[in-house]
Amino acid sequence: MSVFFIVQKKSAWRFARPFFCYICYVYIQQTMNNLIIKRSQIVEAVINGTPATGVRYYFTDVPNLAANNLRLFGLEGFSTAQLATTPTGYTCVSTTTGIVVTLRDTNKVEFLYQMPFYTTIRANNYGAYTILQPRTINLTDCYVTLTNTTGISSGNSVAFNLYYDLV
Amino acid sequence: MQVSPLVEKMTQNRWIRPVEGRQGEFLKSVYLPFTATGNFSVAVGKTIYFQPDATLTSDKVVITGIELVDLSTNTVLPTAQGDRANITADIAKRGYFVLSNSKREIIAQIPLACLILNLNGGRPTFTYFDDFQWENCSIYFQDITGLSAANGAWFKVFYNKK
Repeated sequence: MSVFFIVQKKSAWRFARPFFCYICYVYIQQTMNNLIIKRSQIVEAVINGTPATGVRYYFTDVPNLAANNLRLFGLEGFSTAQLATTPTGYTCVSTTTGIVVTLRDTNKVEFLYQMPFYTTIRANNYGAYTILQPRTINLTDCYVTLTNTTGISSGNSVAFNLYYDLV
Repeated sequence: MQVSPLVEKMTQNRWIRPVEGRQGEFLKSVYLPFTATGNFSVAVGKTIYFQPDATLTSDKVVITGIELVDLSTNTVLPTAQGDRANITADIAKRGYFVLSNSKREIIAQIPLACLILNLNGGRPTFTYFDDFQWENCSIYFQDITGLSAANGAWFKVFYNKK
């Protein structure tokens, strides 16, 4: 009640706003969870040919991730600010704002549809990982799409670390 | 406070934990001083294994967090083989930490830059590694520009006793 009373008075709200925001910040800090790494696998979608918008660039198959008892529960994207080269030798993308990622499960359901690549990068989210409802994925059905080709070259790789557990 | 069933399930499975939680009950600093020749020399793609550690064995402990100390966090890495300079964040972008178990199965492969606290908003990297063989764990670099025997890697390993 007291907060709403302050809000009604514009000048008082200017004074109270920083304190109100701080209380909200502390509350969010106290209730927020972050991911625990149990197992991880680096996966990538390579931009083959001239980069083009609207084209689906599928992830390279990783047999490790085909297990039926696998539960994917988080992911993290990498640009050159986090990782220069992937384990397979491809250069990571340097731009983060023109790429979206779509993940599909074993039932072909696009449970993560066109999520901005920028959002999956941990450093852009104050260290918070992208946490997902645990699912079994079909990696070769998952893909990235470019919404803007500026700064992306042929042979670049859109790389992620997938965090999973075997149940 | 009401907790959603999904959050409860993920917490019970040790997939998530509150951000304000401490990384572990105990902390061990592990040093990897690089050398000009031998097992600890740096080369492109060369695996540099950790030394066996009497504390860090998976029958005794669970690794609950790992952090890499970079040059801007602490400049000097004091080791028994002499002082080394910690690797920079730029070099860390070209390296990986690899955690393996006794069967040499790779459990996790994490870019070194992701283990540096100050690059990730001060949020620690939580882990739950209960099946590992420390001497099978390693680091490697895809590019060694700026890296030499004058450098070393400093890992802070947080763990709980089983």
